[in-house]
Amino acid sequence: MGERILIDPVTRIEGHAKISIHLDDDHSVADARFHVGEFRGFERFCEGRPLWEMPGLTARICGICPVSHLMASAKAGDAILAVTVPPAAESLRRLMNLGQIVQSHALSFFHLSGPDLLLGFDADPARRNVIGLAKADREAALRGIRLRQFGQEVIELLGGKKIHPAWCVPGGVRSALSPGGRSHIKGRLPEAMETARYALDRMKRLIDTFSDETASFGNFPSLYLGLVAQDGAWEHYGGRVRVIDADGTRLVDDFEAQAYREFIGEAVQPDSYLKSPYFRPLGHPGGMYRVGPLARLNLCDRMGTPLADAELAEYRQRGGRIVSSSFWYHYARLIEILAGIEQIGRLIDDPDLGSGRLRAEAGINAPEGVGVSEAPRGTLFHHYEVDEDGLIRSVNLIIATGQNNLAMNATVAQIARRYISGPEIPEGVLNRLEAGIRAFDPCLSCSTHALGQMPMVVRLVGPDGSVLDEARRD
Amino acid sequence: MAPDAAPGPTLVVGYGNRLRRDDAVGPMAAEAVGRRHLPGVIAIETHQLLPELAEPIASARVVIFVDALVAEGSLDTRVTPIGPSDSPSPIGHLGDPRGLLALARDVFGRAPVAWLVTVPATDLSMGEGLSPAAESGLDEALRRIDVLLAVEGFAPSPSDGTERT
Repeated sequence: MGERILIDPVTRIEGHAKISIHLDDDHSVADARFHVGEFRGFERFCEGRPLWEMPGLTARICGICPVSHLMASAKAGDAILAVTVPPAAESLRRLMNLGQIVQSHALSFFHLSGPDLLLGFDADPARRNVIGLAKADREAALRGIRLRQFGQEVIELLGGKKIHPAWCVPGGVRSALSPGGRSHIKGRLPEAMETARYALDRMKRLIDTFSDETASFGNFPSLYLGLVAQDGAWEHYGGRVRVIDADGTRLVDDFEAQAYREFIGEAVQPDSYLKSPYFRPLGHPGGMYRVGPLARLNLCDRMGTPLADAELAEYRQRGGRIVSSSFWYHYARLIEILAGIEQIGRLIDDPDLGSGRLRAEAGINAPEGVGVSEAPRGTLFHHYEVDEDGLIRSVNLIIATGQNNLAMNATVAQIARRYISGPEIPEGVLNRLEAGIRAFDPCLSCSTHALGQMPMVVRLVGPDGSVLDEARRD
Repeated sequence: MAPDAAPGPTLVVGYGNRLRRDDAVGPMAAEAVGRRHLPGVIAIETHQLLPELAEPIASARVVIFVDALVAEGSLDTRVTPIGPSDSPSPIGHLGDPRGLLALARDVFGRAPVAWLVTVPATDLSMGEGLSPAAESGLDEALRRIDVLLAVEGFAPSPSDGTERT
């Protein structure tokens, strides 16, 4: 019987989790797991609620990415109403989703992972946080705050508030963007663009210094899944679902969201409430795939905007046509921020943005519907079945963090094998394990629940099951 | 950097989850202050403390944070002067006003005079509606905020009362 190292919980991710590392008798790493021991149950307590409440209800799943749930939920509702959303409403939805991608990626890069990337993994833990970053690198902290604020303002100007705006509805949106709101967003664009380019410049200088992390932070072959536009461009709202293998070969024809069950299976682990989706044709766990910024950049033919296209070309020149290191999620995230700001600039100048109808009205025309959109962390599916009155019969949510679950396990195991060769765990290794998970920017509020707070505990469990050592970081 | 009397507004920042019963007491206090439209006073209701609040905080003359605090024996509403703290977790679900003050100081150059008003919370379950302890704690918090605002020259006399939801 081997030993087990338990890290509980991982810090600086949205929600709480723990990592356990199973050691052989000779202290070599046998396996590693990323656990989520908390439960939320949104899929159950939404049953019986009216379809029209679902965007507002499911937005409450998360305070960081409520907009993503609004989008997928409203699109599932569109399918049940069997309506085509008015063009202005689609443009407004796209605008809000881009604001969401910008603000969430800014939070991930500057505030959650920035302390590791900009201060170093071996920096004093007491200052390896956003306050430490503000002291050591005021410009980065300032730019990060302002960029996230920009994305939040886009959301607030459209939805009336930054967090949990119940603005998307089945069939469209509730309200247009005011002329003042449009003017405000336009005025903030230059600074946002400058910050995106600043962050990319910083990342490109840094990425070569992280060759060890690039090699060992989840660097393995996998499948990739995400939306692409009909013309193959980067997509975040519409388009079709594409799946490619580690070499970039398409495994199936791009498919519509409603066909997801044909291609996505959901495995359950006994020690985690986080489901483990896999590509059904290859089975579990061989069908492990990744979603999110890394996957989206591997899947698309181009970004579709000039500055982001130039950055994508350089990214692929450095990392190859298919980038397999999860550490490069950080780099991919920044290119998506740039693309998002460019696309906001295009949409905000569209004269049709606030014109015409904003909502298609209809009754229940289909017994079920699937909505899909790209959340900052990856592809998000909402699947609802309703009765003839539109009351929810069943809900299935496939969340980005869950879809990355198998890859996060593999990442933890790879980092552990690289840095652990015995029962001693130096601080630098602890932080690398957490940082490996943080590269995926997991959102446990979305994937399960985040109730309460646990201290970080590291336990060494001997061959007889007794705890050999315990370290605590409150 | 020492706090100074900048000419900016006084902020009342009430934070918490409105769907976790007593945790709503911070936003409810801010909402009540905001309804009075006091010149020079800006009330902010927020789900959680976020880093972008550092900018308006840095330009405020005084900041009054209002939060629920799990009651451990005492059911008193408390008012505590607070300053910047370099401890981590200033953002996300574990927002700390002291960390936010540190961020305001380090990024925007100034941390104003700040107070933390805590209201006892005995029920943080799912749902709306305050426990009796939080209900009376909210009344007391609004009275204490009035006193703080009066010191700053903003508030009407306490006898004017406060609108409540």
